[in-house]
Amino acid sequence: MKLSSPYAFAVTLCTLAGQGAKAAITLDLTDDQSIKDAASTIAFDMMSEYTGNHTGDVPGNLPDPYYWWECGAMLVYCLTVNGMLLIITGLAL
Amino acid sequence: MINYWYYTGDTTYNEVTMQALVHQIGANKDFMPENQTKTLGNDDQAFWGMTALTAAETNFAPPPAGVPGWLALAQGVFNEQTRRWDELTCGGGLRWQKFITNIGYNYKNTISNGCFFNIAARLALYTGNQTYADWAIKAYDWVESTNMINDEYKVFDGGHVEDNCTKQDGTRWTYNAGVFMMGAAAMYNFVSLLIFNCGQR
Repeated sequence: MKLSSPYAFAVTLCTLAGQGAKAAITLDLTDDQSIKDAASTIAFDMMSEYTGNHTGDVPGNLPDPYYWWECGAMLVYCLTVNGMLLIITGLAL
Repeated sequence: MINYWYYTGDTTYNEVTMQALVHQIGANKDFMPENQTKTLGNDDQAFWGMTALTAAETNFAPPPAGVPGWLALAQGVFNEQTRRWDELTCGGGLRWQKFITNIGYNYKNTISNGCFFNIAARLALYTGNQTYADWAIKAYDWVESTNMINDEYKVFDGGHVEDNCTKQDGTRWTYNAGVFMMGAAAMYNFVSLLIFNCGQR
């Protein structure tokens, strides 16, 4: 993950707890592995909402209350959307 | 999930991502699958188009044989939407809904036009084709002309054709600003490349 230096300087370590998060995620923006681990946790949580690959379900659909476009966005922007949220949360700490 | 793979190298979700994308392409290869067509908005279709474009930009594994490539799919969405550009009302812009029978047909929303701008700008950068850049500029100028983006760069949600699209309700969603920021960054890079190339000659 490419992060511009201002973010790394602004916050080097933060703890995140978003809506619906099972546990806080610790993120050290100076450590590549920490960033990947945090992203992995978020990706796993997000994909646990997805049922399109279950037998009898339709690939590319999210269950209610999600809209069809949100699944399209999820397929690309998971990290971006949550990443921005993480950064903003971090800056606010 | 494409960005997740691209930035982390973790391929865990690539297969499920591919399956979902390919399944929603639809019979006309334009991300207007039959089960969504009745309620389809330009923004809905464009979100899938942007995902295909990201797949092209990041060199995500190509779709299976018989399916158009990611770039062709994004271009398909773009080309279809250029034909929906409507200058009969509000001096231009895309309507939210594709079909006249749907609620929202009379609404020209920022996200539909922002996604269109986003795809046009990124196609310009990816292909180097000025025609895409011209559309990006046209879309941006129109959005500004309606005050959907005001002179303080506040990004509102859209306007109704009855009000000439200029009456903004004041709601500001982050995704509206987001698609414009990304498209503007692509345009910056596109223009920088042009200047760089001119300098080389």
